[in-house]
Amino acid sequence: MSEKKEYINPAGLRLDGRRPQESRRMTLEFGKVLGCDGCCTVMSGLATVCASVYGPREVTNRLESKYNECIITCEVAIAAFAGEKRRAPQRRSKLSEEMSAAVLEVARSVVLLSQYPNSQIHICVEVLRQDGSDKAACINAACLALVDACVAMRDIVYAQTVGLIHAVDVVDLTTEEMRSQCPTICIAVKGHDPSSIVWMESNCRVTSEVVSRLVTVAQKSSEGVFAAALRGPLEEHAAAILKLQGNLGNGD
Amino acid sequence: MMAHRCAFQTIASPALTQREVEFTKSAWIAGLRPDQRGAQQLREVNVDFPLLSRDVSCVRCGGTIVTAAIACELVEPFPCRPKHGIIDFSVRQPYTERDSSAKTAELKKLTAFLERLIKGGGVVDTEGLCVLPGRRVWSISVDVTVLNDEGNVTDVAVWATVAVLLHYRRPELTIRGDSVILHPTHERDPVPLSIHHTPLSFSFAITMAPGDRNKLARGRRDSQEALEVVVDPTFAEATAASSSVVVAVNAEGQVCSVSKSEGSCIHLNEVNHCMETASLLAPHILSLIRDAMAAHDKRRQEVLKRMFLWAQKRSGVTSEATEPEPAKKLKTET
Repeated sequence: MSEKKEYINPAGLRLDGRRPQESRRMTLEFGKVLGCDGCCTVMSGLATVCASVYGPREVTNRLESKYNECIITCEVAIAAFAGEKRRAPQRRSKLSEEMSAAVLEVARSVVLLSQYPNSQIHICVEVLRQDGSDKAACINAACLALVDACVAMRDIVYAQTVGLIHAVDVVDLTTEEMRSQCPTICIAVKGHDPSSIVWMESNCRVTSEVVSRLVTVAQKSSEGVFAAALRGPLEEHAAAILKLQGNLGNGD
Repeated sequence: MMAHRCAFQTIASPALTQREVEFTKSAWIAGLRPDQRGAQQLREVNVDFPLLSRDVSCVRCGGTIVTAAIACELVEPFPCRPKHGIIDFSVRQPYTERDSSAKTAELKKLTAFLERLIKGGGVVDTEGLCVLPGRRVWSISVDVTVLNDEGNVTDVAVWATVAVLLHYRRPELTIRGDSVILHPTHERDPVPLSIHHTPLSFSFAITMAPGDRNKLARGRRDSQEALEVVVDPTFAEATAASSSVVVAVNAEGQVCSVSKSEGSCIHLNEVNHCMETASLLAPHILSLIRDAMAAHDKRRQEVLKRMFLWAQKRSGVTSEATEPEPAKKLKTET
């Protein structure tokens, strides 16, 4: 960790003016991509991720189909212009494969797989702009796209990254804070029950008390963000869908 | 040694798997495990270095056998990191007719986990592997082979990798200006790698979801408690478990990695329980590795001594003198 840089100033504000436990502003957009069953664009601060869902549909590779449950495939692409430096436009890289594996694990945990036997759900995630916490943003976008596709799910999932910078618990890290190599935990919890951990990953060397404290901080912050930024747009989107169905019903 | 269950695995069908899952779950509800282990008990662990050279390690945990081989060479570094060495991991497993296409994904996941844990965690000092900045660095490649899989391959692979990294010795170098002299092992003693800490991972199976556990607790009035978290799950237990947690700790008790993969949700007290159990089990595995290293060193010394005596006998040294001079013996043995 770089000791010269001041990530939290004496007034308790971070580099972008947030409090340590404050998340970035998050906005959702549904239905911007045509030709897919569900899509969602998540903008969290400067990070922009667009996810689309195709399915449940027939399995493309018959050898991989399962008679009793649905299979989920995921494809994560990072745009060449997403980061600070222009990257090679190859579709597959180690980073995108790691993100794909994480999104797949969360989706398999939260979707009721037994409801769609012999089927396949395909998730495409496109990272349009990176600003730290990319894995968490991909998980959020993919789960909200599944909601838009009306796939049977246990709960909404909210993922975020928490870190420890100069002995201060910090929530929703940005690129500058991720670059400080501080201990970080990426965690996904249920929206309505933050004490339930859906997915979790940490790759830093800390004591177990620090892990517990960071998980607790993440759960509290998830509760606040879900109530403030996720519940309202989801309810509005559901009301719009019901209204559309009502109009179609009147037409019949 | 435990007999391999090849015949059973070959004829496994969904019905038999379902029966095994039901049996495992009923055993957990009764507070037992199908192979009569305790909840926090590992299978029999055996660490071995099968060859005389120091670059192969073999770890057995019950019926799971994993070997790790290490090799190093001088290469040109990456342009973006001219002062850091290179560490590579690859995981292989011989294919059988029962393996599905998901096995490839599992091996890729295991490779990514090893890279995240050992390369990302700063286990090996990569700056110490630099010889000439920008021109020559050491490149270390670890090749992990899963010889038999009866559950918990992740842990055994990590233990084998850590054992081979601790035990390996790379050749000594002499640098004069821009020239690099690589000394063979008979000229100078090879030097060990610079290891900062030793993470050891432990897999845990969460037996049932919290909601199911609450329903079960309300339904039953027995004094016997059902198992909640079991360590070192076998193949059957991994199939029957509702979710799994992998915790990596080092000898100082620090948590190096926590991963909760797919399955049902868990709570924070279960994560804390996993971390505590892993902290208790890590010194045992580390002492097994250290003992295996010491035994291997002793075996190497004995073999070298026998080779020396055989060479003496072959060249007729014993016929010339009744007993060799102590100075020569001490000099040769050092």
